Amino acid sequence: MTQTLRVGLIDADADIRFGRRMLIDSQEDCKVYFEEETAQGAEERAPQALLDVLVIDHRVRGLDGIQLVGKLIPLYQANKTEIPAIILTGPYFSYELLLSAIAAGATDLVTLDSDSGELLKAIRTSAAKEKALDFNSLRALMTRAKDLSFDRPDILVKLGTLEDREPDVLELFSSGLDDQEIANKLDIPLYRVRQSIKSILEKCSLATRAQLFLAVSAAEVKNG
Amino acid sequence: MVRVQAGEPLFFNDQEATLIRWIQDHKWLSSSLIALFAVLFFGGLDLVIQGYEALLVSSILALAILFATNLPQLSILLTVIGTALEIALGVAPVAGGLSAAMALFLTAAFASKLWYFLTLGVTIACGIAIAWTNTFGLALAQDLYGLYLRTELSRTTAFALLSTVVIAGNILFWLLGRLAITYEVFVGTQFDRALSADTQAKLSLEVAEQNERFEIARDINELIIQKVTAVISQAEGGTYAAKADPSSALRSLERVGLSARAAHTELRRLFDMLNKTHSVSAAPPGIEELENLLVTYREFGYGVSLKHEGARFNISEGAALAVYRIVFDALENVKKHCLVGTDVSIDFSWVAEGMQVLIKDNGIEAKRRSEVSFEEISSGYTAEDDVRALVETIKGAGLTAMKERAALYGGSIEATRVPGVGFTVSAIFPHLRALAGTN
Repeated sequence: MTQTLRVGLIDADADIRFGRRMLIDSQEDCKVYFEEETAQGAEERAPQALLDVLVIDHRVRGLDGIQLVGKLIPLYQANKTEIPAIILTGPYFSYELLLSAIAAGATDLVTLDSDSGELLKAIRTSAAKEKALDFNSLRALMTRAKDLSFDRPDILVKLGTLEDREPDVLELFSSGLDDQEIANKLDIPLYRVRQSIKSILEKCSLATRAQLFLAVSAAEVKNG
Repeated sequence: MVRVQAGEPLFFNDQEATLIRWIQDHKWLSSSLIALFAVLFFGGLDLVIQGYEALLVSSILALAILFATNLPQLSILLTVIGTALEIALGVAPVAGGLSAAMALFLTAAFASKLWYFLTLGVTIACGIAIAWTNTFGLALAQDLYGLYLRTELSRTTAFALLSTVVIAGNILFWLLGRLAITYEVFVGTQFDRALSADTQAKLSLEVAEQNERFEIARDINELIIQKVTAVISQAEGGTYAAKADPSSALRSLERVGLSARAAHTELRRLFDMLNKTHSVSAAPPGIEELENLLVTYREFGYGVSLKHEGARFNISEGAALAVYRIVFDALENVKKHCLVGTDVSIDFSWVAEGMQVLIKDNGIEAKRRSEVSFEEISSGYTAEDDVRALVETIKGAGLTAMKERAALYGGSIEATRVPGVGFTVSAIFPHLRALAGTN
C-alpha cells in the first residue's frame, strides 16, 4: 500500500482549481487537502496543512506565484515544519520562467504547453527529484538565461554561520559532487552529509538544493 | 480622433514656396521666365550701350539660363559660344555676362556634381578670356568703356581687376546656388518645419493611442489565457476523473461549458475592442490601390499582372474595399501556397451592369516544373487530378470570408483547381452598378 500524497492547490481561478482537484483526486495515490486563492490565506494556512506537495499557480490573488514561494519558505522554516515540494504552474514555458521558479525554491514548473498528465507526473516525482541534483542541466539552464540574477544579498552573511563540516560539504556540493561522493571525500557517513545540507538550507532560508546551487554560484560569480 | 493619412502633401500652396521650390515645381516655365528677363533686361542694356551685336551675344548667354537646370551640357556650350562670339565681334564686356553667372547659379543648384563643377570652371575660363581680350587684346591707348589703357602696367592692372571680379563673382553665384539648394533640402521653410512638427505630433498621439489599445488587448489576452487554462484544466481533469468515476463526467462537462463561455465573453470583448478602430485608420484602399499591391507582390517574386476590360464605372468605397480585400486574400493564398516565380493574372471584366474579377495562378505548374528532373518526364497531370478538379469543393476560412464580402454586394465567389496549372478564383458581381455604382 502506497502512502497517499497530500497535495495543496493555490490558484486564483476557482475553475482551474476545480479541474486540477478532479484530476488529482481521481488518482489513488494523491489527494487535495488544501485549496486557497489568495496569497494572504496561503501564508496563514499553508504551513499548518502538513502537505507533501504544493501546486502554486503563477496567478494568485495579491502576489504572483514566484513571489509567494519566496514568502512561504521562511514561514515554513519559522514554523519548524517540513517544506513541501513546490510545483509552479504557469501559462507558457520559457527558460527564464523555469529558472526563476527554481531560484525561488520550486522543484518543478508545469506549463500549459503540456497536458495535465505532466502535472501528475511532476507531483509524483517532485519528492524524489530533490535527492539527486542534475548539475549539468542546471548549469546549461543558467547559461541559457544569462540575464537573470540569482544574487541573494544576505547569502554570504548566512554562509558565515555555518559550522563543523558544513563549509566543506557546501564547497564539495557546489563543485558538483553527489552526497555519496562527498561522504567518501570527507570520510563521514552519508546521513551526516544529508543532515549538513539540510542544515545549510535552513540557515540560508532556502528550500531546495537547486536553489542553494544557484545562490552559491551567483555569489561566486559576483565575489570572484 | 486624429487622422493621419499616408501621402499627405508636405506643403499646400505656392505662397509658402521659396524661389528654389518655384523653379523645381515649374520646370521649363521658370527657366523660360528667368531667361526672358535676362534677354529683356541685360539684352536691353547691351542694345542701348553697344548695339545689335551685343544684344545677340547677350541673348545667347540668356539662352544658357533656359537650359541650366535641365540640360547643363547645352548651357555650357551656349556660354562658350556666346563668349566666342563676343570675342569675335569685338564687343566690350556685356551686361549679358551676368546671365552666365545666373546660369551658373541654377546649374550649381540643380545639376549633378560633375556638371556644376564643370560649369564653374568653364564660366570662369570664359570670363577670363573676355578679360584678356579686353585688356591685352586691345592696342595700347584703345579705350574700354572710356578707360584708356596707355601703359603696359595699366593693362595688367585692368586685367587683374577684371579677372578678380570674374572669379569672385562666379564663385559667389556658384556658392549661392549650392547654399540655396542645401538650405532647401535640409532646412526648408518655416512652414515645412511646422507641418512636419504637426505631423509628428499627430503620429505620436496616434502611437500613444495605439499603445493604450495594445495594453488593453494584452490584459484581455491574459484573461483569455486564464479562462482557456480553466477549460483545459477541467476538461483534462474531467477525463481523468471519469475514468475513475464515470458519473463525474456530466458534472465536469457542465463546468467546462461554463468556463468556455466565460473565455468566449473575453474573446468577444477583445474582438469589439480591436474592431473599434475604424475612425483612426487610413482611407480604405480601393481598386486603384491594387497597383501598389502588385508592386509589393512583384517584390516578393511573383509575376503579377492586372488588366481591365470593358468600360469601368465608379463604385462606392465599401464595394471597392471588398473587391480589394478579395484580390488581396487571393494573392495572400498564392503567397502561402505557391512557389516564388508563380505567375498570377488579375483580370477585371466590366460590363454594363456588373463586373467580374478572375485571379488565376499557375502555382501547380510552377511547382511541377521545379521538381522535374532529367530522369523522369512528367506528364503534367494525372487522371486523378482531372477527377479531383471535377468533384472537389475547395473550402477554407479565407474563402468563406471572401464569399461573405462578395455577398454584401450581391456577388459570388468560386474557386477552382485547374488540373496541372493552378488555382482560379472568380468573383462575379452581376448587379454591381445598381448596388454600389456612383457617379
